[in-house]
Amino acid sequence: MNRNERTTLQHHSNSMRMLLVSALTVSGSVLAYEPLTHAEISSNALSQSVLANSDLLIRIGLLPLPVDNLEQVFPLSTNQRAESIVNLIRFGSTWEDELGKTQALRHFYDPIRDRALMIEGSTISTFKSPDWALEDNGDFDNQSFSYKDARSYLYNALTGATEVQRKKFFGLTFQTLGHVIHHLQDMAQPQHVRNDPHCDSWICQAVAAATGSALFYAPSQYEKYTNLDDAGDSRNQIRRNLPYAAAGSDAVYRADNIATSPFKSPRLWWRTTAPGDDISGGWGIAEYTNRNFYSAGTIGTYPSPAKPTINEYFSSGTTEDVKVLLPGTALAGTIRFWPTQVTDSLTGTTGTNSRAISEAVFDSDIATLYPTAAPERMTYALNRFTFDAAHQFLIPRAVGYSAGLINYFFRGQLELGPPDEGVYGVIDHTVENLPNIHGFRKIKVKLRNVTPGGHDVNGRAVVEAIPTGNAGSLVAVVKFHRNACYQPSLAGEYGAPGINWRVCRSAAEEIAVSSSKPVPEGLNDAAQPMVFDFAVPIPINATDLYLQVVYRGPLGSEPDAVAVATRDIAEPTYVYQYSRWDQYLYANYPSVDPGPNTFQQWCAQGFQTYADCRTAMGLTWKVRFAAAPGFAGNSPVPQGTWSPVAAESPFDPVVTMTAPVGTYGRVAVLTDPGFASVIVQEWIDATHGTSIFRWDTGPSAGTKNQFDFLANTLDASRVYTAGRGIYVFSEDSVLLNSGTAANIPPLAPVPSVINF
Amino acid sequence: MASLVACAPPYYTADPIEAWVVDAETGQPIEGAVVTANWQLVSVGLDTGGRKLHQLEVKETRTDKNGRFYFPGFTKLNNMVDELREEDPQLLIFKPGYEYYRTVSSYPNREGQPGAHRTARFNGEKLKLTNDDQNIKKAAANLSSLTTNLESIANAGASNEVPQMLRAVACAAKRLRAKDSHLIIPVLGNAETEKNCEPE
Repeated sequence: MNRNERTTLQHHSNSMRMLLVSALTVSGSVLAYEPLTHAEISSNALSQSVLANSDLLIRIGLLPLPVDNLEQVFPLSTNQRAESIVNLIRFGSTWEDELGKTQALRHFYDPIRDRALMIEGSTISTFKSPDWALEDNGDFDNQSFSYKDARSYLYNALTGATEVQRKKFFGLTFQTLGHVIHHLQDMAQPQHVRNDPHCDSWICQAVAAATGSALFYAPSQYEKYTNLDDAGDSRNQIRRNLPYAAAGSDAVYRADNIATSPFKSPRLWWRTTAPGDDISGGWGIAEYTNRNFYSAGTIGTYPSPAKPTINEYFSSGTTEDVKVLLPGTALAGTIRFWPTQVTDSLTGTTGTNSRAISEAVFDSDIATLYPTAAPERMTYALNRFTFDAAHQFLIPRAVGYSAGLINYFFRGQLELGPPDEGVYGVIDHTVENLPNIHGFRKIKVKLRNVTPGGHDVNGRAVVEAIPTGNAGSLVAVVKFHRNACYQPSLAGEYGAPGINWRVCRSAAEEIAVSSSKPVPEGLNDAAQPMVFDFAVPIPINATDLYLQVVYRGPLGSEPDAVAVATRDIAEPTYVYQYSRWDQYLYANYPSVDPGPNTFQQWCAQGFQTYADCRTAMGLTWKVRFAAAPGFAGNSPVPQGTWSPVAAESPFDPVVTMTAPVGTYGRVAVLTDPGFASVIVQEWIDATHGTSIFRWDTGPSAGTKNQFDFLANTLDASRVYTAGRGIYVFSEDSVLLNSGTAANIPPLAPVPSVINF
Repeated sequence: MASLVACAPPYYTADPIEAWVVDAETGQPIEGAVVTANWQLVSVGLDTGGRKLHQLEVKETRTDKNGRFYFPGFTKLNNMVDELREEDPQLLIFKPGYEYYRTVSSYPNREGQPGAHRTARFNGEKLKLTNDDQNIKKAAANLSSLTTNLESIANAGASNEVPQMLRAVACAAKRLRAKDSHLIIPVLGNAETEKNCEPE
């Protein structure tokens, strides 16, 4: 049945007619969930979502600023301007209506008949809302703002080659989410789920006049009324006072309960029952709205809510005084309302909508204003009072479903940490030290899927699973700026004399992306070691480093999701050792008291060759950047004491630096800002049979030259000063600049052995 | 029947607007309130409300010591596809400490709309601003809603026409956030807009 088939009951009285015309005529524009209403619903949804929490922003690599902060902006698709995150989502939710003349034809979905908008039996140019919004059943040539697109945009925002591209894609991600939640909000407008078109343009009016079909021109009073915002009449300040934060507006998916949530894939947000099935128990927003609310053109045409029967017409309605309904009015009279029961399957509750539908004895007056309506066929009506009542249910649900989908979109979480070696990357800086050329080509991490999945039958927290193997893929991403002042000697480090980071730090954020890797076994259960290879290295002169791992592929029941972890790691941190016996004069061998001998003369008294002496008097450092068994507090060899090498516990060093006298070894590592280390020093003098070691542990600090975006400051965590031709930490430069020998030469670099 | 349906006129004429802004409680004039008026063109769309892509005209001023503001009249060509509806103009008034004021025309349907000649219904009237009630969350919602009403101006690329309003809203939002950093208040503009805001 359509609006032309409504039951007719005539109850006319002249005085009542005047009252109804006054009460039912909505002054102001003929708007419904107008674009601006969508904007309000969307910003309230964002407030209820994980985007209001800085943790998410950090996880996806953004600054932990409030989403309305104008310091973190991204471009709109129209390229008109850059906007804050909240405005991007708001814009998308409004722009979804503005994209084209026929865009509205994609915003309907009737869950009863599983159909797009059908006008006079035709679905030409119409698409089901979930088909269009999700593109999960196939792509549309002119659709650029679907959930599927949003997934690609987010992935590109995390992995795009340039900062401009990444900002563009972050903008598109947030804007597109606005477009998608627009659809959920439309599904909370009864006309959009009950095949009730409501065009109000002059073209539609012309078509209606030409065809004689009222369906082509039927302005939505519901939408008009909802969008009213007129300070000239307090009764028309509707939009600004809608119950955005009322009960039911909490996000229907909180990103931690996928196990119990019915929304395990995007389409389920529209409907959870199978097409063709009874929707009375459905959890989708289209099902909720369809079964619980009338729309102007479908009173009595859908299974639920049923139109009041003749008996109910006479027995169950409530009569209300217009002076109560409209305080201050000069009108007199009454209006009758009938209730419905609103069932919310998601909460398992049923509430009473006491003003679900109203008597329409003044419909004939309305019909004089809308000549395409047939007055003799109008009996029950919807008006500002029924709209107010519907708002109490529908607006919070529009907010809650929108917030829930945002949470669902961003639910994928990985946990990223250092590998057993304790460092993410290591290179020999005596060999690879050229700026913009040399750098880290291998990154090791430990990775785990920590996407909340609820609890298993034993109450144990579980994750929403990522399938292992090649169904999805993982890449490591390192974001960085460059220190343009860098020099292989480290004379250009922030903290070195004369170095101004404001001059040296590159403005643009750059990115290095590894080749992709399949998902390792066990990722859902425990942290798994992974190695990522970079064809283009992370440059040795990188600063402000962020390490990310990005997953794209199936997540739970969603076929194409994105999960990400971000870690703010230290800048390349230099670990070095050197030997400086040659800076002093000595007594005769073996005494090391001050004397007249140069180091070389002293060596000649005790070693066959000078090379043997330099090697014997230098130390070998074996370094591991994490705890190691046998080198802890209960070790049989106490920390910091020299003991025979024979007593040394097995040790698996990441770096072995041997520095004969007059040389240095230096490696660059990528670490967390704080890390543990074990250094085993070995002193092997083959000539004299000396073979001893000592070990030391302790917390170490990575170089942290983090730029503070808001304060526009950068505090270098290290001070570098010159010593024997290289730049070292200031405490070492004191040692390297001391001594009694003449003509002390620069330290010579010696390669290290790296086991990584 | 079809011939009775008119498309949009080839031009629009708007009469000058003069009105006064007063405190709703005291009736005293409010000086320095920012006032914007935008004549919203509505493009054809198949949903109620059409598509708000373009502005026929956007104006901005401030009230004088008598609370008075004035916008001169104008005549502008129109493409005959887009039409003016109720926002002919949308009037927005904002002064920190008060709820924003918005008003538009009221036409029950297309047949009730005037043609090419528009006269603001509030012309010559006293427009009453209500004090906000010092509730921070409500004040934030008020600003958010005001931003929503400014959005179609921005989306039409006309933000530059309302710099005082954008700045006033951004600064008011900044002051509220200083009191409660958890508030989310969408504002238009850029980081420069809210710099050097004066304290309340």
